[in-house]
Amino acid sequence: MPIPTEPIGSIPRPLPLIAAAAEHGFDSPKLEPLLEEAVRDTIARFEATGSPVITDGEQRKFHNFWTYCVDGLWNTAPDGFKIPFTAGHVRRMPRLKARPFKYKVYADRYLDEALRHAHVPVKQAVISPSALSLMYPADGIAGYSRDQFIDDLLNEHETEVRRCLDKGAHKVQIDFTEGRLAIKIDPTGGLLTSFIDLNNLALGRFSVADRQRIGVHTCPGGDRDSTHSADVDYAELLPSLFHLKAGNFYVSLAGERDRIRVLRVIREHLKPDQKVFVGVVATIDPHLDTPEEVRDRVLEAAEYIPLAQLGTTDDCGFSPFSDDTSTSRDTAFAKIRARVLGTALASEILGAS
Amino acid sequence: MGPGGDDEQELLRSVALQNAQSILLARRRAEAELLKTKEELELRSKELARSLSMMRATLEATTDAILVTDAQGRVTDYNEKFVALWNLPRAVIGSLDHRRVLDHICPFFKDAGQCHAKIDAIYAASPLESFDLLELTDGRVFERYSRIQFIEQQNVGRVWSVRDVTERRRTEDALRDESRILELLNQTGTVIASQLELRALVQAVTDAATQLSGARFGAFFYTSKQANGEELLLYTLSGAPREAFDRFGHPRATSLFGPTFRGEGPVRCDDVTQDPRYGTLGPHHGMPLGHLPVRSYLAVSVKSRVGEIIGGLFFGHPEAGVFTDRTERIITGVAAQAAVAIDNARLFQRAQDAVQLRDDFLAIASHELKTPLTPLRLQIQSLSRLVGKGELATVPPERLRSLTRIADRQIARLTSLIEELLDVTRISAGKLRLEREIVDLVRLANEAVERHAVQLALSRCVARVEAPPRLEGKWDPLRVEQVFTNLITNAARYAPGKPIEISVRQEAGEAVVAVRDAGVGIAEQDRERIFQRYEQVKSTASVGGLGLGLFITRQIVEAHGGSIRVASGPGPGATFIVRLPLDDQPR
Repeated sequence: MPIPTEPIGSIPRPLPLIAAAAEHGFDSPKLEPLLEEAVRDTIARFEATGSPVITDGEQRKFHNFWTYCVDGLWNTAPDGFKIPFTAGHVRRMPRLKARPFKYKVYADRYLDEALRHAHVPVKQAVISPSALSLMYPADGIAGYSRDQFIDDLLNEHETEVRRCLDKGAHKVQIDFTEGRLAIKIDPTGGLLTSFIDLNNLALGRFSVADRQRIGVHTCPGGDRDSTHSADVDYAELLPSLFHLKAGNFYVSLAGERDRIRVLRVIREHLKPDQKVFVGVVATIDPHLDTPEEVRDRVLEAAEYIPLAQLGTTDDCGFSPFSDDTSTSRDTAFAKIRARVLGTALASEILGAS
Repeated sequence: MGPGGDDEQELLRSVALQNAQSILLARRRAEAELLKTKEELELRSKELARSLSMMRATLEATTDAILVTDAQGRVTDYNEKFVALWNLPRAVIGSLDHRRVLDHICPFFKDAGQCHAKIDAIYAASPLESFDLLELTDGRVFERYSRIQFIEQQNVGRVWSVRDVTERRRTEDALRDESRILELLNQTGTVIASQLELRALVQAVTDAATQLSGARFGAFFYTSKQANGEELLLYTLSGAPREAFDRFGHPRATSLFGPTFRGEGPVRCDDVTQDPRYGTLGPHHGMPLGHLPVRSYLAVSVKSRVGEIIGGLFFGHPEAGVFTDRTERIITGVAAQAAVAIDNARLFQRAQDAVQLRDDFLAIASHELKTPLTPLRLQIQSLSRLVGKGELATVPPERLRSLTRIADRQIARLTSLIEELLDVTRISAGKLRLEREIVDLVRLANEAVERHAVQLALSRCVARVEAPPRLEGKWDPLRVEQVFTNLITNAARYAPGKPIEISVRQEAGEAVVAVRDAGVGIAEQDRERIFQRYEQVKSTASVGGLGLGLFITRQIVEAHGGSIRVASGPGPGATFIVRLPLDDQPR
């Protein structure tokens, strides 16, 4: 069986779409034809790469992978926490103003549309409960305790994941890019533990079989070719990461400075019933990875990770934020093609094809 | 970390840590719930385990062999009785393949070919229940019941239970058979008890016994005394036409048939052709050609209450081993019932004959009593007329003597008839008493001849006495005189115009009197009958008399301890021989 390979999710939006969104706003009906075309085109080009599993490129996720589900809610304000990136820009989270906490949109809506076009399995990425937990303000909300918020958050997350699973998502990937950020905010690791706990409370609501179709993605956070927490040592995150009750882990690796050290940590903490999909293309690196480079990264990973538990992926989404134009669609698909081909080459060499 | 401000970062940390507190509480709640769920699960697991244990124990405790399959014919459960019942190898039941289990089981069935087809049909039609009886080659009978197994209203398979009902079936069959036998016995008893006509009775007995025994055919050979006293061997048949036996003659007292005709115990053979008692005598060695095929044989004597052999019931069947000990007991019972019924029928027949005889006698007696009265009345009327006319003095003395003589003779005749009737009454009542004294038998013989001189003369008979000078014994002289009277008048009546020879002699301690006539004689079959009451009447009413003379004579002789018989020599006539003991000592 060949080494499995899956994308993370986002593909840069077509420039006309980004321009129209800037002009009319993301929720303008005028964007609809462009969005439909973006989804159709993304899926077609994704399938053209030969990737056995695809996504819709998160073409409809506005503004980003983190807030898509709450964007535009009546009871939120745009003045939430700022997430600073190394490139110098800041992304701001929405803030919950009043009860109740409810998603405005569940990701299965995107899946519905993707499945209409796709000819291969489609995976769906959703945001983690731990990321959304930061929406609750520091001074609380009258008549809506933090405990009640956490409960509602878990219920909403469960609903979203279950709807995606029920509709036939190949995998449901929980984006947990705030893992490294948690260490950055709280170097004691207490915050990371609470994030792991919160996500496990959500994952614990699913059966073992369901959890084999659920994965967790972690990366330093990519936006405009920069990260929010790449300076945090992976060795501090990964041991806790594998305590998550998920069957699959999507770990950025290609962009890491010391991949061998990361692979050793993974080998040490990966559990027998877990699969790890290591990033073999660096999404924020403008350099076009070649299949051979990818092949070598896979062979390198295979030295540390049992083949039956090894998969490949992209380091991160190519455009987690909808207005990001730092990477072109062509580059993204070229890198994906390199991942697919390189993984296949490695499979052949490893006798796994 | 890029620009963002320390305050912003501190606030984010604060929020995150506050969240962490809530997450911790949520985690504790979740853990508490998990713990509770786990405890509930453990409790349910225990209950489930107990329930499963109970179900297993129940499954193993039942007397039925049980197999559970799913809709695809995969074995999902079974009990050890199922394994034991079919002697299933562990590998077969372990395969959990119903078809493979059936491959092992089917050869046990009589209709092994239909075994799979039946099960396939049940799987295909999926009826709620199925029931069938399985007949095994070893004679056992199993009851197979199946029912769809539902879990939460979903058909999840079928439970098959198999029960050995051989004993129950045997008991039911036996009970049915017993009821049938009782019914038949009851019917037989009713028929037998209500039937007094002998021939119909024996036919009913034969038919019932044949049916009760399970024989293919049966026969009842029985003796029947005819009106003339002759005994005939007759038979009735059931289950076979009369022609089937007509040409073989009656069974003889061979080693096979003899015990039955001798009234010995029942004879039963599982296979008579293999029995050493069978067919050792000619002319039919073994089974005669054309005889009904017989292998199973049963014969039972029919004995009357007094032990008389009435006959025998014989049964046959072309298959071996049909008659059992039970059959024998039933038929013995029927034979006993039949014997009583036949006895009764015979008694009834005798009673009817006796009534008929009495009626006939009364008619004759009336006639006989009336006969002397007519001439007596005529003589008295004649005398009465003469007296009425005053002419009695004119009647010649000879005429008057004749009139009175005739009247006297008729009165004597009436007296004699009445005496006979009184004697019969006394004898019947056991009141015949003897007044014994020393008597000279020769004198009594001569006096009897002299006393009946007139009657002998009228019959143109000459009686001659041949005797020693004297022969004395201790007898009742009047009764012995009555014996001579009866024998002499009897000879004169039946042999008119012929000489009568009377001899008296002594033989050892007996006096022997012989009265011989030269008449037509007495047929051998009548020689005993004539000493019966009223018997004369029946045969030759033309000679007159009540037919009681010889009966009374025998009673008198036997009361003296003697005997009387009639002999017939080579020539015509009959000789009545009376033997009287000389004294009254009992012998």
